[in-house]
Amino acid sequence: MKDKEWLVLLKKSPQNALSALIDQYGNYVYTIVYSKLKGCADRGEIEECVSDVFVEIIQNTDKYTESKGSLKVFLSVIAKRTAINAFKRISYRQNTTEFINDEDFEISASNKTPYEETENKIFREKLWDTVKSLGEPDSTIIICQYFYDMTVSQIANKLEMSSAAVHKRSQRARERIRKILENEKYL
Amino acid sequence: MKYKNKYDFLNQLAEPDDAELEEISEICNPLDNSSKSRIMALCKEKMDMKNNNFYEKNDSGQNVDVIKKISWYKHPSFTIAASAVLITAVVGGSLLGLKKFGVPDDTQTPEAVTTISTTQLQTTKASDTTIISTTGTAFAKTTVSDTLSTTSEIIITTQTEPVTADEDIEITTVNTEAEMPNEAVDEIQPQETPEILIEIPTQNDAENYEILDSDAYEFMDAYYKIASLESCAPGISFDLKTIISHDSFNYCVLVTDSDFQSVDDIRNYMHHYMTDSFIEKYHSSLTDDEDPIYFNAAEDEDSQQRLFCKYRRRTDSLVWCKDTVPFVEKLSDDAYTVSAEYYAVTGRKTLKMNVVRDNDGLFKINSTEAYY
Repeated sequence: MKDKEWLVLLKKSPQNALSALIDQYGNYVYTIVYSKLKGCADRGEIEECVSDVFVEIIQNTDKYTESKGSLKVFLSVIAKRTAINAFKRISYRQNTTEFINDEDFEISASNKTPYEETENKIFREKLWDTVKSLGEPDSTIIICQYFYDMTVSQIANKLEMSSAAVHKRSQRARERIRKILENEKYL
Repeated sequence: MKYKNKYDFLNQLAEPDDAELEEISEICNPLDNSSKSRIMALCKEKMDMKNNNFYEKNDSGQNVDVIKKISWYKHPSFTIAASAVLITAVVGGSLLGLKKFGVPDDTQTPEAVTTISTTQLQTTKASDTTIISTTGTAFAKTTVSDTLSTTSEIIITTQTEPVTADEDIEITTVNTEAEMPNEAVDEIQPQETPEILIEIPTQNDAENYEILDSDAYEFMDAYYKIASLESCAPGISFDLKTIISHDSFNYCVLVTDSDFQSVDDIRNYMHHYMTDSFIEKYHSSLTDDEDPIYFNAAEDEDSQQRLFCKYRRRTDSLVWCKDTVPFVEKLSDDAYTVSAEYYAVTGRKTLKMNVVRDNDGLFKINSTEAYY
């Protein structure tokens, strides 16, 4: 659904517009929120935060115009802000002593030189390309394992495979990635 | 670029940039339909709380969804039809001399049959409403099918005394928790806001909790069996605790989705986790600069001594249950000692586990030791 169509639907039926928004961008928003909250929030809290994002979108659509960019960008901005707020709230509740500024989420403070930063960026691009080139289901397995922190059983459940098969595929995929990167002198 | 461990470079996947996040969401589709339904339900709940503009409006400015849920009885057509039914019943009853249900034969009062037929009521109800009628009392049961499987009942009762044409219908509503419709607890006035009368179950309703608890206890029971079978079991218990608590929302999945036929199956299963996901992912990234990982006592009182802990990637620590404080001590690049206190069946014990890297670069349990 295009942004214009969604705005029309929103005026007609906010509920249907919300449903369409979740269908279309639910995975994206969840991924953004997960990236900020993983390690400190469980799935229930993450879904809670995702719902906050969508509620805020619906309630602030008057602030959104197409001239400001796509709805996706609007969503991502709100998702990040909401997730950061959620992180602070959860951390405070869990009595965490560390406090992280908003900027810390956006800018990875590092002591790397510009050359190292560039080298790192090139490596990451290559790494992602390599992971994607694995094909399914290996790409998904690796991402689920390293980004979503999913266990082998959870991945197996998601992909409807046996745990043993996921484990083997994961091992082989990691080895393939490593060899590809080594052959091309990235490692 | 140099990495200490064989697959450490893959940890960069854990911190993607914006473009990568988009790709991840497209590749993995992390939300299944049930997750989307839960999020939708949460949104609806919050929108309901914040304002009244969420639902579609009809021409009268009423919320369509609310009407669909429970307000159909307020619809003019229902009022007219219900009145017609009553008038017909009273007049017909008086003329025909029918006896009111439950009234002794010697009653001299003009009697009325107050049965409201299913057909008559069904013509006035919403499409998702089921009607049950009985003599003397008419029950209107409406089942709303939305993402929360909300169920409510509206009971329409006539007077037990002889009905006259000018008597009002008494309308009461109960939620599904009520055992008997006659035990309706909340009487509503037609002008009340309908939404507040419906108790919407949340995603974490009691039934689900029971299921989770049951599975968790079964799992722990299996663990206790292992503990009683062999001395190395406490080593496995550490793994078990981590698996269970890694994601409190999903921990039961580990039980239900695994086809355990025997204690050996469980041991193999957990050993599998120890060698791959757990050790490699959680502890291979320790560096010389880092202190041993200390664990905060979880504030979650719901742990019920079920050995709760959570791994916190951002702080690189585990949130542990109660006052147990496990820690990881790095002996060398290829060897760690993990110690933890835990609650065993026979009492509180301390587990010490040595983990070393094998030829394949994977960390495996080398030995375990548990003591009181």
